Amino acid sequence: MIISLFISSTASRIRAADEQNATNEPTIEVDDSIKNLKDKIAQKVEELTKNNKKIITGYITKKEGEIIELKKIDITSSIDVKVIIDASITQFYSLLTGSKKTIQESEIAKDDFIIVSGPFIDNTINANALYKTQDYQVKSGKITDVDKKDFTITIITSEKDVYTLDVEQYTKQLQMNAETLAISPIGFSKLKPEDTIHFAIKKIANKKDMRASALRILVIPQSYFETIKQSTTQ
Amino acid sequence: MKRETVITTIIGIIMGVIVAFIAIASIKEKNVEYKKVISTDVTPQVTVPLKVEKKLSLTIESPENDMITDQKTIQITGKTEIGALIVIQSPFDEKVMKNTNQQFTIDFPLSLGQNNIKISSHIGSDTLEKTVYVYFLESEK
Repeated sequence: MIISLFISSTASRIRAADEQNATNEPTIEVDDSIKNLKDKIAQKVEELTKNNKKIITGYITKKEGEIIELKKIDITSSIDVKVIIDASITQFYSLLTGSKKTIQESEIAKDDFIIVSGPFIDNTINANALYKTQDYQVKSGKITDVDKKDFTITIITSEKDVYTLDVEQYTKQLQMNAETLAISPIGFSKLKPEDTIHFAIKKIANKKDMRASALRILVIPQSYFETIKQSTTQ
Repeated sequence: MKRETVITTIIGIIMGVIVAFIAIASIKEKNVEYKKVISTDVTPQVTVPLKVEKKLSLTIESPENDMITDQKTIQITGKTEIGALIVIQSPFDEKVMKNTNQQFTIDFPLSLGQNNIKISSHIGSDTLEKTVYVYFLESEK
């Protein structure tokens, strides 16, 4: 009787210990593997977010609720991009004054030029930040005409586009010295046909009217190229 | 006539004939030289030193297009012909330099937001241009 009681109690203790072993060890393994999986997923998500985080620029074509549509124009192509606004995440800024200023969503409107940053997948960008800014063009060509009455210059670019630039009070007019290559300010009277000119303007929306106010111009005098030509032929 | 006289006469005649032959032969040779005809079917081969046209090239190695930075200046590196005039312009600044090595490096200031930077290489009447877009956004990097 005593022996049978001893055997049964020992057997039950062993069974209990086995059961405990059977339940504890796998739990630890499962916990570890779940943790590893979680870490891997988090790492992958972070990696994907980082890789997909992009800057998209373009003109707003439509604004409806939390969705903005914009046209991204590249040198070779243009694509339509959907911008998704999340009120709790998206921040709005203006860079129009040259410094970063926080603005409200209501200050963003159709035809505005914007920079959007955020994860970009399948032509859709989830906006983390949206910047309202100015689109510029930087071009170069040769001066073909100088109108001293209207303070305009006509330029033909290497792509054969003809621009008429208004030289305003605020236009930064600079010229390179043909000998020292130093850049210094010049007056309108110094602008001459045949000189090479590099210029920056606000982007022209209407391509039919290629007229704009010049922001800055840099003149490379024709005499520079003539001097170089002479020195190479001698 | 004496025998000696006959022999002398014969020798004299022979010598005269020889001298005459030599004289005629030399005159003929001179005539041949004077009458040399200049061939008209010779193709003139004129060697003119050719002016080797240098093909202008311009490569921008950095920055990459659409790069985002939180720095106020960017280093532009690229390659173009030695002696070319490099003009770099954005809506906010411009720099000019003469390329002394094939590779050039220049620091260029950025303005907040989109910076479209045009890099031009001029050599003679040839000009090449490349534009890169760099975004200076303080909190995005």
